Amino acid sequence: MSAPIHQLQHRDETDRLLLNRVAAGDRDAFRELYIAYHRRLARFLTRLTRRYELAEEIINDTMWVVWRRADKFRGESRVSTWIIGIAYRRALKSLKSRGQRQYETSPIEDVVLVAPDELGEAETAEWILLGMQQLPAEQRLALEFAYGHGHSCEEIAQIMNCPVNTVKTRLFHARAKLRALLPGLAGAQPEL
Amino acid sequence: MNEHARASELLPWMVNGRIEASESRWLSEHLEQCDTCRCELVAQRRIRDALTREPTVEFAPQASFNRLWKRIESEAAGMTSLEAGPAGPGPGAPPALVSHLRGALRPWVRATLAAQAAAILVLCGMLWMRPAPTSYRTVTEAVPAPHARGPVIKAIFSDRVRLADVKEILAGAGLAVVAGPSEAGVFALVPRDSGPPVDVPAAVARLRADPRVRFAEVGAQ
Repeated sequence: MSAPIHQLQHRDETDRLLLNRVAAGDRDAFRELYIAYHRRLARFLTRLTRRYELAEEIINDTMWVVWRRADKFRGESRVSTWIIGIAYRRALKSLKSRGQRQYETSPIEDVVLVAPDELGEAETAEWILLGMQQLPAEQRLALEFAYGHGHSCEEIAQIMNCPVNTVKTRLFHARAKLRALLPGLAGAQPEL
Repeated sequence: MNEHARASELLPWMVNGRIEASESRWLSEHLEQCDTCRCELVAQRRIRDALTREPTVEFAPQASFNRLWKRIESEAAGMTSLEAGPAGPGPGAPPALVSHLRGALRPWVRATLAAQAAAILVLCGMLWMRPAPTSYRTVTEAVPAPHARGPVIKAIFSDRVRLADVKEILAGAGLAVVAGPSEAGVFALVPRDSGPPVDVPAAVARLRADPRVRFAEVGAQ
């Protein structure tokens, strides 16, 4: 569930205080920031890479950059936007260097994932995540940042270093493809 | 943009709570009269629920952090020695980074690094003083046979352990290091060549009972 705005602001203030201490070489502050972001990063990176060891490698590369460049953070965005942006670039670089298929556009026209009639919450989530694996990385990540992390459209544009309209387009295509892949996503029976 | 397209564009931000208040009011009114957009809202909420669902994998952030911190420390140590050289920081080391890394070297970090360096030196010495192997060892040979007087014990010492502690632990258990540390910090231990016979299960139990030993088990033969 997404956090209300005032909670996001409070979290960002906490993050900024921690980041200031990190910039001064404070190990305890760095550890606190690391633990706070590990779960969030691990969740989407594990889904993206499908390998926990690789996800952890990207997390540590990301937080290594945070440690080295904490004093360069200018405060023009939320700290989370800055950190997720670093993770995003590291993840894409890693996928590209491995030539993984996730980065390419998948031939989704041939795939339709029809869910069984009655799914529990866990099975529904698995079914949706299976469908998301068929999306190109950029579209999948736009959904991750919007729904998984609760970022605004402008923040996602900063993270992905692209225009706001590109974010809207990616989300539009991601949703359209998921609808085609996952008939019954809204709860209705798929049309025969 | 027609109403339907506008509603569709706003839906993700209603789902994740980042929609503006005025747009939220307009969208709520639209949803009351539009079945298609209501269905889409349900679908998008399901995607959000799937993406915010807690993973079944249990993460271990502290262990990951420890690995990263070791990397930072070793880089900082390398940078410090570079800085201490006659030529000062090289062209590849920006002054700000050197300063930042120097700031990271708190006294306890320096002490830990010095202890680790001393431990590495002495362990290297211990390995160097072993008699040179008289025959080659095959890749599939799990145990260093010429020195093994029983099964090999795998052990990981605490990060903060000092050389004196390692020597004390090994002497107490009647063990000697034959290999390690591996990339994961694992040492291979065997009963000493000299001295009374060692009861390996008892030695493992002794290691496990010692708070300075994080892990100990009898390895595969």
